[in-house]
Formats: sequence, structure tokens, C-alpha cells
Amino acid sequence: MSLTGKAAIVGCAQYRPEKYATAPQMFHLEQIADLARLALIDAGLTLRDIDGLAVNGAHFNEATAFVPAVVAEYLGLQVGFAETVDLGGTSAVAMAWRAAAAIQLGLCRAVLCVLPGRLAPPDPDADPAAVAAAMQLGAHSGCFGAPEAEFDLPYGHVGQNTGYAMIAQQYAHRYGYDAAAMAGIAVAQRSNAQANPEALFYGQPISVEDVLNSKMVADPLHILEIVMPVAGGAAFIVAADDLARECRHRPVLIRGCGEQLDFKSPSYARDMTVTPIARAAQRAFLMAGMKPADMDMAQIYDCYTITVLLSLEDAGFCAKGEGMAFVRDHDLTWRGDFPLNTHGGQLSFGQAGTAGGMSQLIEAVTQIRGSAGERQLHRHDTAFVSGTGGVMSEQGALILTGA
Amino acid sequence: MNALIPRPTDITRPFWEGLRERRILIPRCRACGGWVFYPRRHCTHCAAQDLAWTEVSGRATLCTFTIARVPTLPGFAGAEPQNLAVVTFGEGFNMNTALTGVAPDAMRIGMPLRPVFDVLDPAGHTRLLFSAG
Repeated sequence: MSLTGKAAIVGCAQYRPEKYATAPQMFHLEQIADLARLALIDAGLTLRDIDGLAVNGAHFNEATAFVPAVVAEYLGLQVGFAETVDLGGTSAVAMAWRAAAAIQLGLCRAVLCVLPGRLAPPDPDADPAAVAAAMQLGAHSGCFGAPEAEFDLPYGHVGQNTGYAMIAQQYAHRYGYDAAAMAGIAVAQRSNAQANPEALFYGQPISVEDVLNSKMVADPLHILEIVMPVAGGAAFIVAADDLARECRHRPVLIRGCGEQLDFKSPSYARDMTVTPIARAAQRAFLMAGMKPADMDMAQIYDCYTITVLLSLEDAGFCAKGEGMAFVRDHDLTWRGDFPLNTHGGQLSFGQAGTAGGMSQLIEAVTQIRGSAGERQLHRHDTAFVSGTGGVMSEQGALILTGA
Repeated sequence: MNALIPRPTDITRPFWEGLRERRILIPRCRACGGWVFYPRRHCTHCAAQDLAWTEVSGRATLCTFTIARVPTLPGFAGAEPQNLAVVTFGEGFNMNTALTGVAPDAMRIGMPLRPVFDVLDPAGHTRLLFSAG
């Protein structure tokens, strides 16, 4: 089966990323209602048009099960396609192709895809110590019987930073490492954020020296190479092509997709320097009948600089082991010859939990529509979008084109 | 719950009990000969459920590492920096662990390692660290 461009992204909404301390606290259902309404306005559709739903399954604040039913009821929807997606940072990409596939199968005509990312008001009856303890484990499971609880935590292996750092070290051993080139990725994205007033780090440019002089968190990753978690949230609507033509903006067709999940901990990868995006991107390009050189932009999931580097290589934008040279040889800003993460990337836009990955998709849509303002690309018909969950555990790719 | 103290399951218990006796017991598939780490119900190479606890020497090499300059969990505060490591056993499987007695700047991918049985508490809970050699 192939996606045949019968479905398009027609509406988007995104909360401005904010620090947790100052952001409003809202229940997930309230955020979803907000974001859905904004995305419907953007599309020029009404609630009655929505007959499909994709929402986060993990970490949903007001339900641990039956999440789609809870959300559909709250919104006032009746849906012929209901999906939870639990793929971390590639959830947005995963939602997009699942929605397109459901539309192509005739199950529905317009799918709301939504990921809340603001904190919910604290449960007045919850034990604060238990809440804090759970927060410390982040994406690691502490459950009895969980392999990572038993075989990672006693050694201090927890969270994302050290896992990505160990991948970077293995990469450095195999192919060499240019710390300044890696810092350059963060600098280029920060430069892009200077043309995006919505970005968390708008008005705060940085230099390669700033990155290299910033605190080393887990060698070789400096703090300015690591994404900052923020409050936010985002939504988009995928609609059938006939409905899409009636919407307000240029439809953004979903032409290719791929997904690959190989492990939870990269320690068990056959080769941790070859990431799941390799197969995901290969499938996506094949499905779309396009190649990396056909892309006008790359919106690549960037929890860390190393994620960007490995994605560039494994998605085929450059050869394996040549990523350092590639980022040295190209201008990665919106002004440059290889526009990458033109909204600033999550490194400079902010990472609103799993909704962070939706920022890349929404930036691709914004650029393809031609509504990116100061940072608008001259060539903006095709986009590669990627998502990454866990520690390079699960990755997805989309090929988007303007109608 | 103290995250540093492993909580064995019925399937994994022989691994942790082995460490208390300074023995490294790893499941090996009787059907295909494949090694399986972490211990689980089946062989990840052939899906057979015919695994035998098999003692190995613990000779390994450093697959990759990082130096965590910020404590990854509160229990590791004060012990920083943590020398987190993935090691590759001579038998070919990988394990998440940490290096002890190795200066951060002395860690080299590919360096030979020997096992260190690290007793965590008076009850004898033991984890498997590695050191140079």
C-alpha cells in the first residue's frame, strides 16, 4: 500500500512555547479543545467536519485508558477512526500518516491530530513526593518487571542525555568528531529562531564559542546542544483532498511516510550509529517517488545536535560518516543552501513534550503555504519531516508537497 | 523504592543471585546457541524458550561511554562524574553498566575490561561494574 496524496494537512495550531514556571496550567482536555478550535479556524472547517481523532496515549492527564473516547466525548465528536499514538517525539509524524491512511481507506474524511504539552493543574490529593519521584525517571520506566528499571537504573542509566551522548561517542570513535561543526548545527538553528518571534530563544542569538563554552552535561554534549523542555502543545488536521480544496490555505499533501522502531535502549542496537530513520526515510522517499535532493527543506527532529547529524546521514542527505563535513559545507539557515529546521528547531523553538515534534511538521506546512514571514523560503514546495522518540529508538519520516 | 537496588523477577533472579556469589550467569539458548541479555522468557534469536543459565568470565570491551557531569538520579549525587558505559562481552552481547576505578579521561572505546562485583548494601545486593584490564 502507498499513500497517493489523497490526504492533506489543512489546518494547524500551536501554543507559543513557554517556560513551565510561567505557562498557564490546563487540563489536557482543555488544551485539546483550545488547539482543536484554533486548527479548525485555520483550516476553515467546523467541528462537524471532524470524523477522525489521533491523540497521545501515554501521559494523558485525565485518563489512563479509553483516551480517544474521553477526548471525543469532551470535544463533542463522533468519529469513525480513533487512535492513540505512543511514539514519543515521532508521534506527530506517526499521526499524520495514520490519518492519511485512514482517509485513503475511506474510514473518515477529516482527522484531528493533537498533542497537549502544558502542565495540568496538580491533583490536590496526589503525594508530592511520589509525583517528584516519577518525574525523575522521565521516559524511563520504574515499573516492577520493566527491563530498564532492573538493568539500567542501578547503574544510573536514565533519561535521554546520556543515551544520546553514548551514541555520539560511538560515532566519534567510528567516524571522527568535530565539536565546532556540531555546535554549528545549534548556532544555525538559533539563527533561524531570530526570524521567528514565536521561538523561545527569539532575540537571543548564540555563537559556536557560546556552545563550546556552555556546560558539559554528558560528554560530548553541551547544554546548548540539548533541547529545553517547555510548556506548549499543538494540533493539525488532515483532510481528504476534495475537502482540502475547500479549506483556506494551500493543501499540504502527505506523499510518503515511513516508520521504524528497533529498541528502547540503543545499547541493544545492532549498530547504534545506524539509526531507525534510515529505513523510515528510505520507505518515505520510495513511496513519494522522490529523493533527498528533491526536498526544498528539511525539518529534522532535533532533541540533540547528534540527532540532526545522524538523521542527515541516515535519511540520505549525505553519506555515512560525512555529516560533519556536510554541516560545515552548507549554510543550514533559512537564507542558506540547505534550509534546516527553519523555525529554529526544537533546540531554539523549545520542546513542548511530544508536541515538540509537531513543531517540525507545522513549520513545513507554514513554509509550503508561503506564510513563514521573514524566514519564508523562496523554494517551498517540498519538505522532508522527521520525528524521533526515546533514544533514537523510534523514528518516522514524511514527505510533504504543496498542492 | 530505591532505584539503585534491582528488583529481580522470577525469570531474572538467577542473574542477580549469581552476582552475589561473584559468578556471572547469562541465559544461552539450547536450540541455537545464542546469548540473551538481559534475561527474558525467550531467545531473541530464534524464539525458543529453552534457555540455560551459563557462566561467563565477564571479559568485555568498552562499546561506548559518557561522563555524566550532572547526576542522572539523586542517588548518584556526590559520586559524579558518573562513568556510564555500554560494554560488549566476549560472547557478543551488550550490557549497560558503569566503569569504576577508571579516570574519565582514561576511558577509550575498545579498551579491555574486567568485571567488578559491587556490593550495594548490607543485604548483599550486588551489581556488575567494570574496570580496566
